[in-house]
Amino acid sequence: MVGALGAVLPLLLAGCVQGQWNRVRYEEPIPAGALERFAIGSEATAVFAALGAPTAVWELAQGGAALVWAHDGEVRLGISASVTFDDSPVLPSLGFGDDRGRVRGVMVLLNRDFKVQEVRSGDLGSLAPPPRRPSPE
Amino acid sequence: MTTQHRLLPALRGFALMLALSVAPACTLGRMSENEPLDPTAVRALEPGVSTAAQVVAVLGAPTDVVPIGRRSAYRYDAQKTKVAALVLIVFNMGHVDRRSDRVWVFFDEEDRLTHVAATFASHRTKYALPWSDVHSEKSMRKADAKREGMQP
Repeated sequence: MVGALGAVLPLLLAGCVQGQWNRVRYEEPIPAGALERFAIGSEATAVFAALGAPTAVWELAQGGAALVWAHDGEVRLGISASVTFDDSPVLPSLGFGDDRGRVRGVMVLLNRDFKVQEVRSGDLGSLAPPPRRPSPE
Repeated sequence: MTTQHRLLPALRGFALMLALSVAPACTLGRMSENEPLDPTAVRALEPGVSTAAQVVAVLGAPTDVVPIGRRSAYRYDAQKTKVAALVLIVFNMGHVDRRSDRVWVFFDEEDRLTHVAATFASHRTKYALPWSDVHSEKSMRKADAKREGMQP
């Protein structure tokens, strides 16, 4: 009897409670030690040898270029529950999730001579991208 | 016929339904964008020698062109994504792995190649579950060995 109840309970719960464990990986993380292979004043060639091809490139307003290498390793754990009331037109839903991992990356700013001017790394959202040169009208 | 004999087919049906309901559902999916880039062709490009016309003749039309002052940069890319999901009744797991081949070529004001930046990783994409280590050195070396032009 207990065994049957144990088998049926997940079926009954499935309508209102669900757990999830998802992982999304976009691109590969920056190789360990790669940022030590170049320094301020290094040629762009050294940066490309260490980091490979950037995810994005744009022209800086003051001249030169910004190069970004981005990767994402988001993990989402969560459980959600919903309950339906007969006299209610809405479906109340409760849920929580744990988003660990953000889009991380490295931003390298090159001057007009294509030499490293600045290196930033961390959460891409907090890297404060420098302004782009506006597109010609 | 006893009550026990009348209930048996019903119990069997219930057990079958239960087994089908709780049977795990495994889903695999694969998506590709653009043709994979050729590492050998990219290595043949010579900074200081190759021109933009020669690069386009080898690699085709770029995905993007970015002007940088008097310079310009062309982007080539191809992506591969593999998705694996295990859909259970009350607990679901999923994993998405997306990697790219990406090449940026930079030209000076005379359209001569100055820099090449290349990453070839689309072949390393794996089907996996959330706890798997898909970025291990061993795993990547194994995938590289199978792709033409990736051997050192």
